[in-house]
Amino acid sequence: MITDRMETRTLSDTDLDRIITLMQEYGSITYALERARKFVMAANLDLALFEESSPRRALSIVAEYMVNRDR
Amino acid sequence: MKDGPTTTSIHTMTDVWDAYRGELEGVDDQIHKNLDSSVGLVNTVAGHILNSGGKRIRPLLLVLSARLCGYPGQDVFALASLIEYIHTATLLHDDVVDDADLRRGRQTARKLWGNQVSILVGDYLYSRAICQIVSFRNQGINEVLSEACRKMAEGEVLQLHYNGNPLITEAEYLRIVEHKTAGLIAASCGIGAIIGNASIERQDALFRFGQRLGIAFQLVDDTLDYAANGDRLGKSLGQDCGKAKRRCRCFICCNSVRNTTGR
Repeated sequence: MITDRMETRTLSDTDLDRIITLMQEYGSITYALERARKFVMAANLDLALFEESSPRRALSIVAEYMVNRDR
Repeated sequence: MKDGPTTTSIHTMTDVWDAYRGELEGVDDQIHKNLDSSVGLVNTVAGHILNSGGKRIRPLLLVLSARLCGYPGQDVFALASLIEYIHTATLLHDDVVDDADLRRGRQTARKLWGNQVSILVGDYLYSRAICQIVSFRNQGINEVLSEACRKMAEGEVLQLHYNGNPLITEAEYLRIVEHKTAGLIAASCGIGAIIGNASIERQDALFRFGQRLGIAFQLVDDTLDYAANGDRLGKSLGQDCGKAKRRCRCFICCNSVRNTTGR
């Protein structure tokens, strides 16, 4: 259904609601956020080369903010 | 440079904004100082979007990376402001490509002044940034930034290529994101390391940090489109999936739903 509607550019508001419901039902959003968290974990490891300091701490907090923000 | 914040005083993002507010004000001063075109419309349109409440994440990352590498000077403000110019240029162009009417809860430049003005002012901001960047006469910075711009343009075209195609794979989606979003964020961190005279190993580490952060940033951005409160986002839920110019971010739903249900 999704493939057809998107390929034919006929996605209605009802279709969109259905897609969002399916995403929630099958954990799509959770999956994507989990992928984002893994990238942030890897990013924080890149900071290990640097000694502890305010800028390093701030960078680490900005990294966490990337996945915890709500807008 | 006066003493910076202490490690123990920074716990949350609010603490970060507070601790580096003075630095970001320095960046904002540069942003406004360089908005000096002799053509008034350029300054009006660029000012409209530059003053629309952007979070200045890229400038912040550049400043933090430079400070992390021990750079004490004020050239970071000019460099960070130019990164924001380039980011702003991409937003002006994006809104044309997406037929967007709203950005950050306000009418887009293209809605107010039209597509032609939006594209041309975006071009101006790119050019203004490049003119200023080369004045630093730092080949490392020139290379990192020009490569980031090349990748952003490539990513946008790739995204257009997959526009409305729900069969895009996760790997292809990540390739687009790495180019169009992570490139400039990685460059911001990388330039901070370069101006801080960090070792190549440390430059690479900060560049990678920015790249991973950029991918995470876009993943969350795309996900918020479906999960967040529409009013807080300043746009309608699912807008990026429902607009005429649909973006490939629908991969998140399409792939996992299709894989699970076969529909």
